[in-house]
Amino acid sequence: MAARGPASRGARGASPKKLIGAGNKAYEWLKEALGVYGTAVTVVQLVPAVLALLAVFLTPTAWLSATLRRWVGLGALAGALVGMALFARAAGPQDLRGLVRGGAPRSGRLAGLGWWGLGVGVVAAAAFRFHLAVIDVAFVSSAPFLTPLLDYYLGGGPAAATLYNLLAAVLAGTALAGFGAGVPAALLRWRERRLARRALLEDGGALAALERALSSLEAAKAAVVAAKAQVADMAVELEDLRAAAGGRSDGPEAAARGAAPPATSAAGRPGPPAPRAADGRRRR
Amino acid sequence: MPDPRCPAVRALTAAATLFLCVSHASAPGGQAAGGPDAAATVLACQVAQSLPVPPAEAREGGFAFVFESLGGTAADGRACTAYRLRNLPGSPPTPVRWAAGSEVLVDVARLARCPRDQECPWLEVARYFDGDFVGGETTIGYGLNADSFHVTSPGLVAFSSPDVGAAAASVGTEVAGTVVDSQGRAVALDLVVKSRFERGEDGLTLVYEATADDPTQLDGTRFVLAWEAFDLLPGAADAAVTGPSPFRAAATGAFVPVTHRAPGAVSVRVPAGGAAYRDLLTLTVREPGAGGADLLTVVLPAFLPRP
Repeated sequence: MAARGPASRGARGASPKKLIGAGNKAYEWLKEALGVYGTAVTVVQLVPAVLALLAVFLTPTAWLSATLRRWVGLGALAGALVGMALFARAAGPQDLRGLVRGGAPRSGRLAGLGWWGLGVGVVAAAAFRFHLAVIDVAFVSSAPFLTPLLDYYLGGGPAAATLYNLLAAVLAGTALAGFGAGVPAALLRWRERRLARRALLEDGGALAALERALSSLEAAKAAVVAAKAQVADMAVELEDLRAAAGGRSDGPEAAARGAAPPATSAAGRPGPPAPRAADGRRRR
Repeated sequence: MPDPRCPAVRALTAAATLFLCVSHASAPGGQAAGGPDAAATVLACQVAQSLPVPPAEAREGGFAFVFESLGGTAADGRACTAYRLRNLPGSPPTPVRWAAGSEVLVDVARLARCPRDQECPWLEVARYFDGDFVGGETTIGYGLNADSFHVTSPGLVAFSSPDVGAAAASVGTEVAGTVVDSQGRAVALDLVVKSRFERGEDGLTLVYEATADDPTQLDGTRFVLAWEAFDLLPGAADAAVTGPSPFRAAATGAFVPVTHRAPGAVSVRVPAGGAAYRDLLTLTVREPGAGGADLLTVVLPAFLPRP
């Protein structure tokens, strides 16, 4: 019968539960893995089509024109220079006069340039791609409302072709200026924020002190909760001790009386309730 | 063994011989050229050869047109070459530049859009000159800026060698067809522009002349003729003078007044001590007005005063 002790019962009872838990977990993992596998297979099947679409998207027929490539190259170069200048201006340290004039702080300028640059770059790049598409015969045949534009650019002679090239150069330049200023500005701001946060979190940093204060508060809260629980246990223990002490002096009847609420008669007034250590403390 | 006296056998033999002759005929440049079966008259050129045979198609990027070069003899016995281009049905407006090396044979701002249910006419450019033509490699660029797509094709190229010491000589270019201006309006072209000289009792006279049956081709109202020869002709351009003249200096666009008029002809006559032949000059058919767009550019050499 000694083998049926609590320890042996626990060891023998936990084993099937653990097995079932492990089985459930393995099943969940398998389901998850199958889901990931299915998604991966679908994505892999789509890769060639996506690559083909990318190739078509990135190599419009207009791009075959060497003249256009020269114009766009010049525009992109100018745009990149403008973007670099804008970034350099925004990333420069704030001088005193700028602060006096009410200029934005450096981080604000970087954030603004990042968002504006990226926004302008994306819009200009989309417009540039559309501009390249309007002289694509296959594209325009599927969007007939663009036919007059195609006729003008292709048929307007050298002046129209020059206008087309100029627009392409301006759009490419704008996109490059936007990306050239926005991307480094956004990256620099992100890096600087990350470094600042790390510095604050280091020993001696403000965030580190706050973190320590928070963890101290957590520890104090846990201690208070534990003390509260301990006090409640002690009160129950005290009641038990009192009850045990009363039973030893008055016999079983008194013990029963102590356990049960005090009997009252209709004639006599009920006596005051027995004082409770916990209640008394609580009132104080 | 079939009997050679049999008429059917003799006819078959003759046909085979003719086939062999035609298939072995080649242009001076070594390219196979069209033989007598290509004989036809294009503008004033009696065609003897054509390249490529048959007319080649350029078909990429949604553009589609046909082109061919022709060579032969003009009515006056001089040599001639002709270049023909035609947009195929359903094709969009197509800028085309046809060149042989650095020489631009024909530069069309655009071939007009061709409706799907219609066969579009040829745009024809013929050159008349003293000299010869040879087959060689030519390049045709088309699409945006006339250089999106390229096709290399054999073609006939003129080699003019006029005798500047003769009593008279002439080089000319004839243009016939329809081009479209920047407003989308069709502009019909049908004229001959020539440079020639005459030696008379008064000495040598250089003549720059345009002839056409339709007088509206020569009044400069529908288009003007910007010729590089006028850039090299001292005193020809005069911006202060205006009037019905189709001639303009190519580089500056300056007005070149007409000095002589005759029914169906206008000309600028310049007395000179001697003549020098200048090859590789171009004539541009341009929209009238300042900054008018170029419609068509063709080769048109000229006789210039000898320095």
